[in-house]
Amino acid sequence: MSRTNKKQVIMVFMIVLFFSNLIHAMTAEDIIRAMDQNENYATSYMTGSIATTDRFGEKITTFKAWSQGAYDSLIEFTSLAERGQKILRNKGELYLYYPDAEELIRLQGAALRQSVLGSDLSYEDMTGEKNTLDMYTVSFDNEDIVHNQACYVLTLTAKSRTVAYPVQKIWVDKETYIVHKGQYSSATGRLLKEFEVLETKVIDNRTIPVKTKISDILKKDSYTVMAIEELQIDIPLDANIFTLQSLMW
Amino acid sequence: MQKKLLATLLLIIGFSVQIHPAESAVDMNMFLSMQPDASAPRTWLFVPSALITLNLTETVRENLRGEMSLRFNYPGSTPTITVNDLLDKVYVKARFPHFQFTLGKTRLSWGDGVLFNAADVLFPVRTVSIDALSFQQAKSNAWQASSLIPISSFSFIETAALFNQQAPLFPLEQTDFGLRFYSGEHSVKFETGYANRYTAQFRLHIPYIALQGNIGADWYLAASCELPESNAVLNHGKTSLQISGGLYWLLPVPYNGTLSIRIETMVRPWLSWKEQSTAQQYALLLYSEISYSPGNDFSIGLRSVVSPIDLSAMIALHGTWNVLQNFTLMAIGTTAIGEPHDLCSLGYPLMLTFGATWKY
Repeated sequence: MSRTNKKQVIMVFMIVLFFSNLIHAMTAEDIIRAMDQNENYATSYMTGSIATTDRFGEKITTFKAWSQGAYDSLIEFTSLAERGQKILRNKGELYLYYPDAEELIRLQGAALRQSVLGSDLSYEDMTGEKNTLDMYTVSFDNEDIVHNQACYVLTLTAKSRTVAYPVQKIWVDKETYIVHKGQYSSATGRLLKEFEVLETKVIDNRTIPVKTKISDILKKDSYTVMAIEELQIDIPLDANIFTLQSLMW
Repeated sequence: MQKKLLATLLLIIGFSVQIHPAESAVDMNMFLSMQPDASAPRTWLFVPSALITLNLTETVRENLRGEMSLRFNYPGSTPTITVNDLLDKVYVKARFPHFQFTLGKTRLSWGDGVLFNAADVLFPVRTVSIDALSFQQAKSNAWQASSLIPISSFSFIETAALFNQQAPLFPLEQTDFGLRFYSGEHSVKFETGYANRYTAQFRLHIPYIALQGNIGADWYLAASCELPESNAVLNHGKTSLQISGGLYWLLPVPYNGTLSIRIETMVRPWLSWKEQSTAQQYALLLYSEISYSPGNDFSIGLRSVVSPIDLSAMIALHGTWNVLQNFTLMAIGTTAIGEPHDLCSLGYPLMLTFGATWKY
């Protein structure tokens, strides 16, 4: 091969490499979309617990939850203090049912973004409606290894004050798009809480975090562990589950 | 006889708890209230009180469920205690493909509102008191047969017959009837219904309507009036007209906290708009509540009921702390503004209540 031909081959190779990189390199927004998509299920049923530990001890709340599509979900609490309380959510409304008073309460608006039992999980999080980019702008920081997994490190900055944490730094798995680790900070950059995945499971070819821990940095020995004991995804569900009749049963 | 009945009841419950330990729960609410003694300066009066509920719930095959709940209240409102007083709840519910029915002693909550709810036509609450014990005991249950017929996912019809608890044989002419239609299909919830209620003098026809929606805040509005069967008391229909409304904001605050604000009003336009020399129900009442919770364990709040016509108000500052699993400490301080004969008069300048609730 002549010297000129060699140069041409190298040039073509570099051009192909450059464009293939352009085609395959994911933007920070693409990573967030893939992360959201990974958490969307057509239907799901789960049982689990939220255990809060502080210096006074541990408090555990257990629940059953069904979800369907982007909006429909029903959560029933099974732990003693909240037993029988249910929350039904559809696109625009949240219905609460308190069995002690046989009371049905309908809420709209900001109630949908409230955390479930003071945890870091909102009602929106418990359904398929996840669009992180609606709430945050995202920037790519670097890459890192967490739990022996290669991760993208991203910083999310809140677009409004209606979110729990103004700044989030997250470590997103490059293969499975689950968030292995997170650091939640105030607008001034003060670290408030840390999130980490303790356990994952592969269900229907998807890697799903089934045990996560959120530590409160401002309070010593204060953390919340959410554990999913049973999870079935993309399963047939009774059409009557997401109805007022089911809620008031 | 009464003692034997109670003993039998307790034996049955004790036996049931052994059979179904996972479905039983005891809810203990203990309070210690203190208030200054008006007749002796620098002296405080102490009142211990307790509300204990023993609850048994059973669900069979997802379509049949029952609940029995015993309530022990100290000090009781009457010197003697009856089985009916003790049985706070006892019912069986059955679910079929096109309807479900409930038979027994329980409650039905219609309409919206924490203190003022014109749509609560079967269980009307007339109290304006917001002290700790009144808030706990304001709502009662009744013997009933009710059914719920779904029309669509978010709408249904509910029918109910409530039996007079004072009459041993529940005569039909003393039975209350109710019917409501509920639709949450659209952005504004629409609820309307009718109750036919027995009173010692005459029967009442009580239609109502209740709406709920969101305009940034959640809003709710209801109206009802009591129309007597007898023409001789038509004036009652006019004076019983009541309109309640409210606004509710639930605001997320950093970091994972919640601020809730509620404002309610009750308007009875045909009642007095002028202050009277004796305490009575006026045409306008207001209720407000603001509560802040930094997480799931602790909350602090202020609630008040205001009678703008006689310029009186009752104000309560309260705090709760879920310190251990199923164990909550609470404190509430209640005071009143106004003259002794005013509607929101407490009869004492200040009451402090400390309490603990434990569920096991």
